[in-house]
Amino acid sequence: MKLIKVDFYLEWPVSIGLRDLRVYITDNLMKKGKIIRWSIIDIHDSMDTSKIKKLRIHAVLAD
Amino acid sequence: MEISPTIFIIPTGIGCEIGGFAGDALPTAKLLASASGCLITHPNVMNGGSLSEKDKNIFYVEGYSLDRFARGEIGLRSVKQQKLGIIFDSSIEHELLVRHLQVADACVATLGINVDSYVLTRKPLGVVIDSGLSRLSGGLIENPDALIEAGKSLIEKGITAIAIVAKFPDDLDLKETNNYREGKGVDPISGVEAVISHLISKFLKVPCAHAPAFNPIELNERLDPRAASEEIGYTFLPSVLIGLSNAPNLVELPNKEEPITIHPNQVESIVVPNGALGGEAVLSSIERGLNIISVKNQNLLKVDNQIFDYPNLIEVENYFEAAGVILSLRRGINIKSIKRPLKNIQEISFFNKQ
Repeated sequence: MKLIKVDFYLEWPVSIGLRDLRVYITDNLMKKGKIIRWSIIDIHDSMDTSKIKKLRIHAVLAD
Repeated sequence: MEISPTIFIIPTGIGCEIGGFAGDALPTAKLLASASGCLITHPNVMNGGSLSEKDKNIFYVEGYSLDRFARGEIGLRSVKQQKLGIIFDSSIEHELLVRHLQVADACVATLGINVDSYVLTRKPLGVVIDSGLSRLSGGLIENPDALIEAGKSLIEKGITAIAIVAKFPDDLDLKETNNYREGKGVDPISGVEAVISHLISKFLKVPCAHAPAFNPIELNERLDPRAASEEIGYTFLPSVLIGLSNAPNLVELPNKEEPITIHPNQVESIVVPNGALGGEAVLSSIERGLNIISVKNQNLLKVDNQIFDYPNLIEVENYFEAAGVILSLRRGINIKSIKRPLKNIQEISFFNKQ
């Protein structure tokens, strides 16, 4: 097993409600590896008019 | 009076003014435990190097397992005593290892803790500290399999809770370390510490906590009191052993056979620093509609309720106020009744007014 650090932006579409946000993030993380540790460390509004927010995620994953 | 089970989180490695140092949120935890009658919190809050304290109203749960509890995947069962084992990183030098073993013996002799045995990892764990560009504490270990293998060997011998001691590099950035010791920076190693204990929680599902092993560093006469408990002895192990000595068992849910002391469905509130709403326990609590008590506690993060707009979030100025909110919830007193101005009750129409 090898650990990797990931730091990336994930779009938070309007269709995903706050109560579904955790599962939305972990589903995305699990595509990259087994989740050891993660959190949202920043949130930005999109620059365009789409109302999409961008989440900055820090995580440590195992392959 | 009924209890109001409350989760108390101070995320590791984000530079919190209270709780970002060496067990300096422990007095706050005792206050919140008194208010709630039942506080579930994690080692970062309770571990003060050489100092710690037991409290019958505090459940000591490692961060990864605490997230699972918040997700409703496990319950907690009180125990009188855990049978502790210690994993030592094989890269710890002999003299430093002996210091740690003497701490374990002292905890048996003086505190009556059941520390049973220890194991050395087959390979060095290979701690790598890397905060990246975020200024948050981060990093990982190069040999996670060696850690898991050592933990399994302890469990096979009947150990029920695991302390881990990893060797941290002696060439840590001295400026960064001294900033932390002087109360001006982020704990540079806490991010890796979390990864190490999360690995044991994830793969072995037992109570655990981590203490770093360091060779002695030079005296700093400008030491901040919040970091002082890490300067007392040769190791940071005592607080971990005290915390784990009666940490609750983790009961996988659903489970109808094992008794459970605190079920996740009993939790009413979670207390977190303002700006730190982006962690898994908070988002799980939002899913469950719990009260989020967001406390002003300066840190590096800005993930707050301006974007989430979660209706059950209560912002408070400090932990005294948080304790008051918890006590109100515990007694079933409407929080709005205590605040001014007080609004009239609202009429609800059967039809939407245009």
